[in-house]
Amino acid sequence: MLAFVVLLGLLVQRTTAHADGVTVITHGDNPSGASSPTWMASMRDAIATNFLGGAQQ
Amino acid sequence: MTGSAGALVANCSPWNVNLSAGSNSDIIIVLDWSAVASYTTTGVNAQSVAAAVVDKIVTGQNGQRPLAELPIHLVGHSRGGGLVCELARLLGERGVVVDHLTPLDPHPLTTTDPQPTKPVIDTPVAIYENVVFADVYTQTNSYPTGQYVPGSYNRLWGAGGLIGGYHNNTWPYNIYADHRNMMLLYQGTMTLTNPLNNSEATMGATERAAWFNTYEAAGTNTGFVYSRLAGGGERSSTNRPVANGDAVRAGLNSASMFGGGGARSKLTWSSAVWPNVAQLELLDNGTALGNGTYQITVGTTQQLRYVYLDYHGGCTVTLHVDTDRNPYNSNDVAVISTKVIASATGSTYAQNTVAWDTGALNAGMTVFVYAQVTDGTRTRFFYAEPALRLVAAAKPQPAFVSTRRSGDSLIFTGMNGQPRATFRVLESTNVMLPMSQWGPVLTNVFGASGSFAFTNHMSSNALREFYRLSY
Repeated sequence: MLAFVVLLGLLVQRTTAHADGVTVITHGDNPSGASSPTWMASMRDAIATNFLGGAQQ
Repeated sequence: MTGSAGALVANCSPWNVNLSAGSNSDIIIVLDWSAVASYTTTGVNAQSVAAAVVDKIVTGQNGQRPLAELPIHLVGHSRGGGLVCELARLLGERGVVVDHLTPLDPHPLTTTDPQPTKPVIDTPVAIYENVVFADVYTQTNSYPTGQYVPGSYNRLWGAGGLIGGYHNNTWPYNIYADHRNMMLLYQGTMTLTNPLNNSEATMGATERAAWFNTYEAAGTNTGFVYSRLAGGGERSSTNRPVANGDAVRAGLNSASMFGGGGARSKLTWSSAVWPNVAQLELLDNGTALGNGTYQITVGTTQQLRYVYLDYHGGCTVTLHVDTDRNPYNSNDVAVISTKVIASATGSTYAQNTVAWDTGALNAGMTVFVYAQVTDGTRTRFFYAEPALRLVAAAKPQPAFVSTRRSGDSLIFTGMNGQPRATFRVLESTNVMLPMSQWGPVLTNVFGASGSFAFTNHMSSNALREFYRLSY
């Protein structure tokens, strides 16, 4: 029997595509040598919120 | 990351990953090397940080499986752009294929940079043959600028292209504003609502309108869209988002089975022991299905294609059917195939196509297909993009096949009935009448194959007669 595939919806929510992988985010030079750049945590949270349904352990 | 030049220490903390729970296996790592990242004081170069980190990826931490078992996306800004290229290279030395590499305004320190105290020289940015897709977002407007990286899809912003964002901060938080806007811009391809504040600067409608062009659709069709988390985008697209700029496929590995145009730097596979599946696709008439949910009929045969690489020796590739996108939580429903690959591939990617008979699966389920590759010691996993909703094959409906006159009778034959089930034949001279007003002709049972036949005497008074099967 031939393959039969149907796209259910033309518009697919991007958040449905959990993609089973590891994302590593890192920064550059840190002249102050002190505190960690806070934008990385913001980017991490953006991924979790927009692509993992907000799920965080 | 702590320590000092020549004595760096990488720690994984907090390590709160439990992959045996949950429905997906997605992990986000924030690599914080800020304590050693000041070139004016520490003398630490980016490649030494990468060297300290790579073993944390290929070795299980805190009793968990190694991160390298899953597809990897590396994102680094400025010197971090060079750092992630080096991290990708070191993973390649161990045989690990990196799915996605994203340097943001990459700016490794070079001899031309001002280094008033300690000279620090970072490894140049390069894309190696173990990288599937690389994309670079960079600006040339003000120091420190990023750079064009061969083998990548490069998206360049020139003079005046990056207004707002960090420029709107007050001194000293607005220094290197163009350079730092690149990480804000990239986050703007993850979060599509305005305003976006990354705790350091804000991206609003004005920035979004100025920073992205029509093709990029306010950030929805660039940047993170090419990640597996967002569905992978159109990595093989020949479209050029910027006139005279790179086509997207310039970032996709030029090995023939990927369909890209991205040349790769040669890698020294000095400790290459990891096996890889670098791509797994469900094909529909030869075309890979992308991100989304697709309906397939139980009993049909689907085509799967996977790309693999095992530099040093043989491996076994098993294709599984899972009820979610987590290979660790023990809820697979079927094994599609197992193939022992006896020979090493060296640095050349290879592929296999598998026919998948879905007849053993149950309708009503939504499933995912993944590849598991192992050499007996190391294992990696790779999920195909689409979700598959299984539906039952449509039941054939009984149908008349032939009608033949014999004297003053009509002989009917048909097929597709439910074997041994009872059916009734109804008759009317007016097809528009409700079924309750049709007259009964006979009651019978379908044959063992679902066929049927009956004979009916024609009324001498009727100009026409209609027949209907009820079952």
